[in-house]
Amino acid sequence: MPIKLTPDKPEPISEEQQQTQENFSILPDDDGEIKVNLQKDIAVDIIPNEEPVPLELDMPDSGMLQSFRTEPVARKITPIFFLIDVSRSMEGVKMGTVNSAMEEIMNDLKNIENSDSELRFAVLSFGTGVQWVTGENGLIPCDGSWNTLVADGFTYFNSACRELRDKLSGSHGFFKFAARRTITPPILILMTDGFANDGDRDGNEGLAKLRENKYFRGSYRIAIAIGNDANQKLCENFTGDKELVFTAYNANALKVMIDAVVKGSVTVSSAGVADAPNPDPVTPDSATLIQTVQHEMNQLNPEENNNEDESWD
Amino acid sequence: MAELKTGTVISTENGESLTIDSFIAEGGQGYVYKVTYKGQPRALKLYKPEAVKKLDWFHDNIREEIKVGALSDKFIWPEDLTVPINNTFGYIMPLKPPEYVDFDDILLAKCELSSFYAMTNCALNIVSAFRLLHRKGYAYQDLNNGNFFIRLRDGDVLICDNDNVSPEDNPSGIAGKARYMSPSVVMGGRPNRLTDRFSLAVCLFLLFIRCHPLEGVKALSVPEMNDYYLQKHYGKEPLFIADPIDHSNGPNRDIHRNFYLRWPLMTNTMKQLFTRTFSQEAMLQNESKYPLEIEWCRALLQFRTYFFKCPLCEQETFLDSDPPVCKCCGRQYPVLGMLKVNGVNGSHGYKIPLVKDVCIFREHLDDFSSTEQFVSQPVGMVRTKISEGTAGLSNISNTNWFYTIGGATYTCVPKQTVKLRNGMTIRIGNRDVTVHM
Repeated sequence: MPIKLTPDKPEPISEEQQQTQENFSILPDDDGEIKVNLQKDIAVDIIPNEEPVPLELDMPDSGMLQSFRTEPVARKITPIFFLIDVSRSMEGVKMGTVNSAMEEIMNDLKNIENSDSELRFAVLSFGTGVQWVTGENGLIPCDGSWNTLVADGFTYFNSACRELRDKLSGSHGFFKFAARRTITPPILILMTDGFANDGDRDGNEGLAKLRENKYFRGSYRIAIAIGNDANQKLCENFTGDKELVFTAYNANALKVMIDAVVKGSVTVSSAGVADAPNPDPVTPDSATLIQTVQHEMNQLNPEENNNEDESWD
Repeated sequence: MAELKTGTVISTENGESLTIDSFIAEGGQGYVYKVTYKGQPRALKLYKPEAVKKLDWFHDNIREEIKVGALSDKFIWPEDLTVPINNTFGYIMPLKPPEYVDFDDILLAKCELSSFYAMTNCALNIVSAFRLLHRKGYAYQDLNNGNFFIRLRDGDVLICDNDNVSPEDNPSGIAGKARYMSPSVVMGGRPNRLTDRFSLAVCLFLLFIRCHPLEGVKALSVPEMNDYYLQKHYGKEPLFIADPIDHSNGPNRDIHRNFYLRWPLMTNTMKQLFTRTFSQEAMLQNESKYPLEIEWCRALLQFRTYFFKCPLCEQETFLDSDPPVCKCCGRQYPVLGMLKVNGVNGSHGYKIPLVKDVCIFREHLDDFSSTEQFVSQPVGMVRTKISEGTAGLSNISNTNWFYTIGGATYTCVPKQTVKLRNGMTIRIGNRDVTVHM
């Protein structure tokens, strides 16, 4: 039983104490000053109540924090554009491999999520005519799904370039977001096996229009040339750098390349790593991209991607 | 290099061996596996040789870290190195317990800490861990959102990726994320403990405010955040979203809703520390102006003390008005007074509201001087009898307290409760706690 050490009744509050209470603030004062005159002769008791209970550090899963409706941190958007050749020459194993590889990569991309940037993508197929497979309304989130592409017709690459130019825009294109959000450098990935049929066969006509676009010049561009017969010149014109053109000579190589190209370019564009000494205001430094994609490509044994073209029908 | 297959056995430098159990994740620098090592589950990080420029540096550094040992239990510290394997190597470390989540999951609002109290506790754990790291002469160098695992229940923290940790005159040379780097590092300078403090403040700002301190409307107005604009906004011309003078990079009501919701909750001291960190002077002229960890510790401990359960509805509330009104039930609740722990050594001391179950912690009394790692050990707990308007302080430490009345000294032994009266002083340890009611 606790023992009373001092007089039973508290002393009446003096005038000085009343003054003290008026001056004292219960709020954080931040300057550390307490405007109180200490009273030395105050009675003290031991309160005869239950024993202290152990402290629980955690608060209940409700309360003020739950009422805050916190939103995810504002993130930049990392746009990925896939330009995929669906001409008749892609029919068969090539188209099947692209569809299969894209299914898997989309499934992977939906799990790549971080607080630095948000992935969104669009797919532009070009055969006889061009089509935004992912819709005309803009970039869509990676939810893991993939619309199977069907090969048929010619290779309207120049038309695809013109269509892409129209959509690489913040005022009337795919970069017009509901709330003001900035993007990381767009990633443009071209997959083709042939020559353009709608004008210049190397795509110079369409690419000339595309190069007028600032977002295009500021993008990371990679091309996968599919098979021996693919137009390397067109691919090089598109990327502007021979080292960013990769040739897949068989289905296994194509699968690995798509994986490497997408993951590598997403890593470079979204990371926001600052190690370029004097960056250009528009054109990104592609050295890191080359290095990263080539590293990803190391999973592909060079001997597996031989020149036999044996896998393509 | 290709990923390692399940069942692969690898020898270690300490003469042990490990077996690959499963693949966990792939990062920029390497692969992480769950392994069995000395019969225990552990994690193995295996470097991608092409992705790490100074692989030898990491090997030597980790070997040194193993020799030194973990700085505290908050660090997921290397325990052993593998022998060379396919032109690379890996290191073994403790496995993250399942109840800890990635900091990114919180930032993406996939999950949330249990309370603001736990959130502040989380910040205290992070800051005190980095205080310890710096006091030992190390710098982390590449501090960012990927380096923390957090337990939502109470804000406990584990710090990972400690292979970068090294004396600050021995940089790893790795390129970090610009939005977490001090501007001098973005512009090519070497990371050190001062630049760590900038990165630390960015993480704290993200934890509390849920937006990036330099990403206001100006940073969002660029068409494309490429290398050039990264340098411009995070290196050459960084500007705080709440800069008190230049508002050109301020928040936008549509985009920065978290800022409008949370910044007002910060106490003046918290706001001052953030404002000082992201001031033009500190960011661009004098990095020694970045707040020290001890300043954050004091501010956070005081901040945490103002979160408690409302005596009326038992939900968490925050004391920021007089008379106090519960943030949850909206009712006015009684605060019977305040305990004041007098400050020493540059500390302003602490104020502890007389509200049921609010505690005095060891760090309130020793001002973070007695232990190297924050432990949050309660020593006293406030008891109240609202109907009588009385409050008491229970001794939940294992030492006696002393208080003097009329020249006589009395003792309060552990488990006893002292009835509090205005003006009385209680001696706890070597500190005086005064009562204001």
